[in-house]
Amino acid sequence: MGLLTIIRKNRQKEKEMRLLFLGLDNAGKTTILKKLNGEDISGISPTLGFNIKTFAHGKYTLNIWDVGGQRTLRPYWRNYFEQTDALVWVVDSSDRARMQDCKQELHSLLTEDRLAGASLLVFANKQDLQGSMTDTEIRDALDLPSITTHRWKIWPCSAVTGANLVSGLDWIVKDVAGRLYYSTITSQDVQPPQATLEAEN
Amino acid sequence: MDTKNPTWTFLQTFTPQFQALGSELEGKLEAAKSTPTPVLLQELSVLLAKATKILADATGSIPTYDQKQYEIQLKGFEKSIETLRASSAPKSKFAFKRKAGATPIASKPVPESPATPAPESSSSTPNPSNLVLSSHLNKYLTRSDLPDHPPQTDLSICDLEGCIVNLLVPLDQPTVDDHIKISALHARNLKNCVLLLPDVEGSALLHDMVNCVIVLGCHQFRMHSSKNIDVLLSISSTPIIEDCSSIRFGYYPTSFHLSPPESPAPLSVQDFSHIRPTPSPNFSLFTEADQDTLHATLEMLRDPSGSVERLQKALPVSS
Repeated sequence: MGLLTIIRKNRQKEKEMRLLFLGLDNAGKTTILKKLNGEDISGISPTLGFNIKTFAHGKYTLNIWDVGGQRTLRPYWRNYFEQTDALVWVVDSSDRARMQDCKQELHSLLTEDRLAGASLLVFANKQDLQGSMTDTEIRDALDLPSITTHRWKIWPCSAVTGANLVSGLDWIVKDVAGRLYYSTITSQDVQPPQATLEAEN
Repeated sequence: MDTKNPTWTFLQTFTPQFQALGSELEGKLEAAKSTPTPVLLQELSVLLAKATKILADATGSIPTYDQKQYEIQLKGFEKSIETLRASSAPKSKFAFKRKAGATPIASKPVPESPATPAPESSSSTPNPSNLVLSSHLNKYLTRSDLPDHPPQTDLSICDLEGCIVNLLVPLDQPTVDDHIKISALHARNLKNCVLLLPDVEGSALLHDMVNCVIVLGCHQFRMHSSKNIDVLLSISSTPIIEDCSSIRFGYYPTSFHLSPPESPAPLSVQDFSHIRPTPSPNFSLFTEADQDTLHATLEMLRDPSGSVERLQKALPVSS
């Protein structure tokens, strides 16, 4: 089974995932990324255009695209949809006035064909702020339970303190891996079906 | 015996297995077309996932032509199932993948997701609402006009007209430790106002301002849909405006700082409504002379004892 072995190995090497970070401006998308990457977060300017970060997370290589959230930039989000495995929607939990806006942008994103099937992680960021909304409040404000087209989870976090950032990423990576690489997972962790077939011969 | 032609041997077991799955799918599809029940659709999805997986695992072990044919066949099934699903109920498109993925994962000795338990919901803590300063007309507002709040808080200021908001450390007690520390600022719908604010520990987001003077320190500054605003900033990142006009930017007055920074970072403003190489027509930087005049006027406004009408001297457009 030389060829099959090569194919298997190749597939394992390519354990890459493409994550798209979106959300309204001032949500903290870039700050989350920089914090995750261990960079200084004090002098971050509002994003004009996009940032790309690539880093290893467990067994996987994550390609993270962070696109600016200013209103002028939102029409350009669509340029980044292709090949997206997971969508990370970042919310400024203290921005009560724009929750409705936030909800509309999110729900219109979810109707996009090219994002179909992508897992959705909602980061309820800025939980360190005293007056921020809780994850439960945000879940309801964004009407997340009505989402049936994507697997989603809401995750309270703080980019400034770093709380829950890594665990949120763990969830989405695991979710995508279960979807994308389940055959590889199977061949590694469970008895490979191929082997069963051979044994029967 | 099968070392000579492993492909052939493999095909002998693979082909009937795959075809059996195919015909089962076909049969169920027919049944589902007449009465599409969620259970049946679920079964179809699981079957399809199974077939897809078998085919994927067989890659390289079966002839390319067969592989292609089988893939086309599966695509056809997938399409029919999707159509059925869409017509019967708006159900998760990718639900079948979860089912297929969950089975092997669940059979692992490791429990479902020990590494990633959902973080404890913050809803268990008493629900604090945010601090709001709103709905005032022609008033001098200081910290005492705010509702009860902890020393460190985020602040929303909205719906003010003709007001001076002074949250600087009072001149007569400059060493008070428990002075308000603002961790984030939201402002909306202010008209003819002067905001004198200390260093904000986070970002400032402003909307719908008309004819105001904004004085603050912050990490990030964003202003939307505003016009005739003078902004004096102490900031290390790039302040941005969007959908704004007639905005002037200058430096935060040194005398307002508790501990002034050695050298303020040079101001570079970005206008998201004018993303071009040419300079934006929507904002300008203060000339030194204008800035000095404004600083002097604001220094006077800092004293809360005078009348609120004094703010007219500071506003960009006097009414």
